[in-house]
Amino acid sequence: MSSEPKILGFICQNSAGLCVDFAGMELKNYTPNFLPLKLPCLGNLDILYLLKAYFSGADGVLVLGCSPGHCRHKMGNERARRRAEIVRSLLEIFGVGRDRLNFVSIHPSEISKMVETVNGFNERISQLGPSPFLKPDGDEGRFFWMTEFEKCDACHQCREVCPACFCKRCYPESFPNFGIDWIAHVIERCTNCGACQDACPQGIHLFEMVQLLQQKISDLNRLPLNILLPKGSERGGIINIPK
Amino acid sequence: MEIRPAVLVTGAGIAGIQAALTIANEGTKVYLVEKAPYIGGHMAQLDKTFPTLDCASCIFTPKTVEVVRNKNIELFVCSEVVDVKGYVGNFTISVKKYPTYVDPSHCTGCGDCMEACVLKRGVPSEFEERMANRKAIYLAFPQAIPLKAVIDPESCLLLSRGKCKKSCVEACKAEAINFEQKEEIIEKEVGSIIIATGYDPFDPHFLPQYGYGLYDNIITGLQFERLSSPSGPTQGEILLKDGTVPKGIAFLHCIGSRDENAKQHCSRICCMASMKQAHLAKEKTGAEIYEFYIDINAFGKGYQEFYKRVREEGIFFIRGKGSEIYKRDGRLIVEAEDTLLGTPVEIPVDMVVLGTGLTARRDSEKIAQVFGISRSEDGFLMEAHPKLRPVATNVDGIFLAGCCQGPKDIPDTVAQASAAAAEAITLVARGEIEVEPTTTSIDQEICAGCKLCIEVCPYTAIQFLENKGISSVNEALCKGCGACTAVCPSKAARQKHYSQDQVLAEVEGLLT
Repeated sequence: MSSEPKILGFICQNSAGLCVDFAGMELKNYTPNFLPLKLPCLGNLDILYLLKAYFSGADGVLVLGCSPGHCRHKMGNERARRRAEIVRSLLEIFGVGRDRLNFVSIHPSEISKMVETVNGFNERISQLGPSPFLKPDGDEGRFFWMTEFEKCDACHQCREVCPACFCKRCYPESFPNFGIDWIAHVIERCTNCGACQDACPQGIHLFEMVQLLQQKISDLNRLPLNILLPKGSERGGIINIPK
Repeated sequence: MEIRPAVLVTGAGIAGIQAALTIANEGTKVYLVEKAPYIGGHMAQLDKTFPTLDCASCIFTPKTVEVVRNKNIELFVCSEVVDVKGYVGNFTISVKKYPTYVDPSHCTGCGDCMEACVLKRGVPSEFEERMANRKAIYLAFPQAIPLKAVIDPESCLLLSRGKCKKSCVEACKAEAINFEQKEEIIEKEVGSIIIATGYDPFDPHFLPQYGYGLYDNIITGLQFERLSSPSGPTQGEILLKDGTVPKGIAFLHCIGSRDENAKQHCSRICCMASMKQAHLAKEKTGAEIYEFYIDINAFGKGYQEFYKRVREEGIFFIRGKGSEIYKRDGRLIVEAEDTLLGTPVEIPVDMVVLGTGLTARRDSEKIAQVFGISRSEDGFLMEAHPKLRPVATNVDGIFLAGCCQGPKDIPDTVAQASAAAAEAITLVARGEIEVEPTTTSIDQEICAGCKLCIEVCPYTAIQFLENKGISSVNEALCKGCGACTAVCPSKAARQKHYSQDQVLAEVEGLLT
C-alpha cells in the first residue's frame, strides 16, 4: 500500500533555492516527492506554516537554510532552526515523531549535499510511512495528546485569559485546530501562568502540554533569546500592553 | 539603493592585475588582495609566451609596476579574503593579513638579510618551482613587486623552533624586521567583487607511471619555464641536474588532462606551451626533441602557424600519449604507441618535460564557500551561463576572471578580466540598484504596538510611532527578509508576495 510520501520543503532562496536551480542545470536528479517552497529568507518561516503543512497532508517537512553565520539577513536561519526545533518537539509529544521534520544547513555550492539530503530524507519518510497526524488510529498512549486536542471546539477561552495575547486580530483563529495552533503560536511568549488550563471548558491539559514542550526545548533557551523577545523582558517575555 | 564605489579584486595574477588596472584607471577604488608575497601569479614565472615569443616578464613587469603606482589601487599581499557578507552593491569583506615579520614601509629590498640568514641550505623556493632554494627570509625573485622581503614562519628557525641568533636583524640596516607582527583582519566595504584566483598546475605525483619525483630530469612544464628563464636558477640554460646539456628531450602532452584516471577536461594551453618550450629547447641546446601528443589543440590566433613553424624546425612529433617512463643504461626511456604508424615506440632521452594540465585550485571549494558561489563538476568556479554570461556568477555583483573559471591562455584571461572589470564598473557607475519589491508593510488597523518586529529587524527599518502607539516600516531600508512577519503575533506585518495567506495557500496547493 505504500504510496509515495509527500515532502514539503521550506527553502531559503539565497542558498538551497539556488541549489535547487543548479541541480536542474547540472541534470542532477532528486526525488519528485520533494515539493520545494521558496521563501525570501527563513526568518520569514512562521511556526504555523510548518504545522499547516502537516494539516494539509505532508508526511515530512524539510527546512533547508543557510549555514550558521551565513544568513544574508543576519539571523533568519537561526530563528528558523529554533522554530523547527519547537515543532519537532511538538510532533514528538503528539506521537507523530520528531523525524518527520528536519532542518539542514546548505551552502549554495553544495548541490550534491542538497540532493543527498533530500533523497535521504525521502527514504526516511518512506520507511516511517504516511503521517498519522491527520488520522491518529490505534495506540492510545502514543496519540494521547492528539486525542486530547481533538476535544478543542475553538471557544477561545484560553486566548481570553492568556497574558501574552493582546492582538486586535487573532491569527491562529483561522487554522484547523485552534488548540494546537494557538499553543505553537504563543509558546515563545508563554509566561507559565497556567491560566489557560483553568479556563478551558473542555478540560484539555493545556498547561501540562506547555510544560512538556518547554522541557524539550529548554536547551534552546541558550540561543540568543533577544532575537525573539523584546529587550528587558524576563523569562518568557511578558509584554505589558494594556488590553 | 546606493552602491559602494569600490571593487574587490582577489588574486593578483595577470587576470587580477588587468581587472584592477582597468577599474582603477576609470577612477574607482580597488582593493587588490593576493595570497603570495608578490603579485604576478603564474605569468611571472613564465619565460616566453606563445606564439609571438615575447618575453613574459618584459610585457608583464610594466603592468605590475603600474599596480603599485596607481593611487586608486590598495594592494594587500600575504593576505586572503576570509569572509564576505552582504549583497550586490553592499559587500563587507574581511581580509586576513598574514604577518610577514618585515615592516614594508622600512624594507628597501636590498637583500642583505637573505645573505645573513643562518639557514645554510635553505628550503625549496615556491617561485622557482622547487628548482632552487631560498632562505627563510627572502625576496621571491629579483623583480618581485612589491620588492619587500618576507619571512616564512615555517622555515624560520626563530619562529618555528624559537632559537636563532637573529643575524637577519643585525644585517638589516633599515631596521625593518619585526618578529612581533601579528596577523590582522581588515574590513572593507565594496560594491562588487572580481574573483581571479587562478589555477593549480596538475601534480604529476598522482600518475606514478611517469616517474616524476622518482627519476632526476623529469620536470613539469612550469619547472622548464624557470629553467629556461634568464632570471631562473640556471640563468636560462637548459641543463640536466648534473650540469650537462641534454642530447635528447621529450615533451609529453596531456599529463593529467584528457585522462580518465586524472582530469577529464582539456587544459587548452599545454599543447602550445609544450611546442613553445620545444622551440626554446631546440634553439638553446640543439638536442633531439620529441613531442608526444594526442591531438594538437592550436586554437588561437597565430597558433596553427606557430605549430607549422615548430614542425619545420626538425622537432619530431609522435602522435601517441606517453604511457610510461623508465630508466635504462642511464637514460630515460619514453614508451608510447605511435598511432600513425601503429607501432609501439621506445625513445631514449636525457630529459622529460611533462605538459601538466591546469586544475582547479586546491582551495577552490573554500573560495566558493567564502563568496557563496558554486563550482562546476571539474572544480572550477561556475559562471552564471556558459554562453551568454561567462563572466558573472550566480551571486549578483560577483564576477570571475581568468583560470579560476576554467583553463585559459593569457589573451583569453586578459579579455575576460577586462570584461569582468567592465561589469564591475557598470555596476558602480550606475550608482544604485533596484531592490526586490518584497518589502514589508504594517497594517495600522491590526498592529497592537508590541514592538516585537522592531527587535528582530536586522536593518532597523521599523520605527515605533509614539503618537499612534503602533510600529511602521521604512520601505527604503527594508530588504524584504520577512523576519518581522514571522514574529508579528497578529500578522499586522505583511510582506509583499509572501503574505501569510499566500504562503499558506501555496502550502495547501503543493500538498493537495
